[in-house]
Amino acid sequence: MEVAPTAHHIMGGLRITPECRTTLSGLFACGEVAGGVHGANRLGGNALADTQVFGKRAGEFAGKSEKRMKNLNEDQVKQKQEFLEVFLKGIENPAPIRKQLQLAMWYGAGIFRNATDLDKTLRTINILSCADIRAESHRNLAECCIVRNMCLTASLICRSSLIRQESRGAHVRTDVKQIHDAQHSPFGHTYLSQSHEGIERTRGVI
Amino acid sequence: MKPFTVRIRRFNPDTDKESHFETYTVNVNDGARVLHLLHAIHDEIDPTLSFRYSCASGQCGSCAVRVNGEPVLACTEEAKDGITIEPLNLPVKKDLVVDLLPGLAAITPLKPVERPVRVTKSAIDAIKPLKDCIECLACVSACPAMDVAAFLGPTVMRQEMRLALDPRNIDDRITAAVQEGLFTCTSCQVCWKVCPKEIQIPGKAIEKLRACANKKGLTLPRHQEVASLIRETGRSVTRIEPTFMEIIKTEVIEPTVPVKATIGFFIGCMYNMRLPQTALDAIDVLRRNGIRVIIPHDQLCCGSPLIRTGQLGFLEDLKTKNIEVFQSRDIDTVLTMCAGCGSTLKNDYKTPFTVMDINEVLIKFGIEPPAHLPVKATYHDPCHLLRGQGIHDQPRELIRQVVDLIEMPSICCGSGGGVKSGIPEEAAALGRRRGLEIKKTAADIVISSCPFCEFHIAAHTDKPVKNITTLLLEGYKEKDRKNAKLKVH
Repeated sequence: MEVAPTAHHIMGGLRITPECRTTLSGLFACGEVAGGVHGANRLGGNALADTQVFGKRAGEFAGKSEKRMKNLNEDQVKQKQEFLEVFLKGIENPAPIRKQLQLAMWYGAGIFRNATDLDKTLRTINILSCADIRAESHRNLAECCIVRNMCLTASLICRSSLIRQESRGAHVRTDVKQIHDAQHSPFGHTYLSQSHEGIERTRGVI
Repeated sequence: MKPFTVRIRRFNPDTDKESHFETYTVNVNDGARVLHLLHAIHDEIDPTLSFRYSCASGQCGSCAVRVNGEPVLACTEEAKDGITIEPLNLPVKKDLVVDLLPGLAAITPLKPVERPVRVTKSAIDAIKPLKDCIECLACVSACPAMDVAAFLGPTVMRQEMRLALDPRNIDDRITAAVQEGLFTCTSCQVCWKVCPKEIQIPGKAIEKLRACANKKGLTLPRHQEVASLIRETGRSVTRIEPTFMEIIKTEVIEPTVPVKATIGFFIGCMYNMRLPQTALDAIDVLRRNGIRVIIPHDQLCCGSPLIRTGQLGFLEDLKTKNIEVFQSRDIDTVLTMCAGCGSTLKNDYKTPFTVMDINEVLIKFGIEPPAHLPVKATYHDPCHLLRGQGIHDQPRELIRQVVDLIEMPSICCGSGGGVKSGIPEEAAALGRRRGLEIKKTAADIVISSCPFCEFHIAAHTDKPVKNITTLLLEGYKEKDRKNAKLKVH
């Protein structure tokens, strides 16, 4: 039997309120897209809290939230269409891009991490994100979107790993000498948005 | 890495009228799964190849395809060179992607009772064997009854039994199951043999549902008649001619060569009362190969017709009596030649003796080589022999000693599970399909090893249908004739 470590869950995700609201008004989230539910490490088979608690909450609060008028922004739709059409005129097969990304993450952002490798991986991701990937047909558009989303997710993982200068749960920084344990960590949540990123401090600066 | 060449059935609804095969050669690691092959083809050769997958670890059930005709999960099935990969036997959307929605929508959701109820440990234990379904629809793809009858399929039945056992469910699932085609299942066992979670749907769901239906008075009238006959006569068929046991009279039949083994013979209703000549042929073959046969004349029907149709009222009496007749004669091995009886004795009884099918016995003790006949034969795997008892190689080994064997797909002929008596038009439809497969082989004769299959197939093919032992006996007769001729000259 082959035994190998595998990324079976992403601990990070959208910031949600206890009512499963996101920062985008009217958008509720639960499950693996939401972050923080499992703390620093989700144990295998423990999605129960996601489905039974936050799945129920998201549905209930979305159902109870006030009705919104449909407001379709034609410009945004057009923008998205153009974004997709670029793939139809692309050049590169997305499959090798995905593989390169997976390899880069395997070597640079796996179980044991350090700043040098994370930086290097981030540079690779930035290059791969710009690849002119091609959708062979309309049916292959989703594949291109997936590769782009994988690049974005990988980038978020590397950036938050660099920001979190401590080992915690499934995140192990071999280049950081650490004297505190998880209970006495000065760090809270890592946050990344389009405008800013950082880490919350819970116990002052060390 | 090593090269694998595989065939894939392709279909693009935008451009193709019909599906076609494409052959691909790709390099993948030794020990790779079928899913890895598909990824390699998609990534390196043809990005338009469509297939569905998600977890890639046998948990989500979204990647089921057929490999060499058998439904499997692409993510757990080992890739082999030369395989053929096809979509499930469901409406194809594109290439290997099928429409799962009707199949999934047919699976009944739980309708909760108004007040919460405590679920006991025993209720959970009863539900356990039925709750592991990952909804891959491999069983739906393989089920022969669904192709010819109004049947919602194996996993729908599994879910109905699961709900029927659940104290939190409010409505009557038994009546619903009957309406959804409960009695169309032929007990062919293919659903659970292809199930990646090995859920025993025929035994743990369908037969149980039929037993519940029996308590509600929903058993088919024809099945009730069979049960009455067994209760009154101990046999599932009526006497219309001298039976096998009446013909042989004695209880012990000595072989014509030195004794290799002494074995009890469980004859079964069909060979005893409908096909006695076949049983006599078997006796001749056993005698010639050193098997001393003991035939207790007080043995009864094995009870299979009752178990398959859910009529369990006096089943235990039959079981006790049948075990007692062999045990009282100090018999340690009992031979069956009816696949249905064999499967029942092996799977539904707790016998103090070993049960062996005649094919197993002949291969285990070895047979005198028969003459080879200039005949092409195809072999019909009886469901209760192949899937019920796991016997695949032995009959083929025996047949090849007499004739040339042409293989055909192993599909139910329609005679099992009480369908032939209960829903004869469905049994006939499956029989006709079997007839077509037989025709495709261009074989001269059809061989099988089950009285129900032999009897039923004979009505749906113009080729002679013979039991394996009859074929062996013909091989021996030819051998004797040739030897006699040599002596004359």
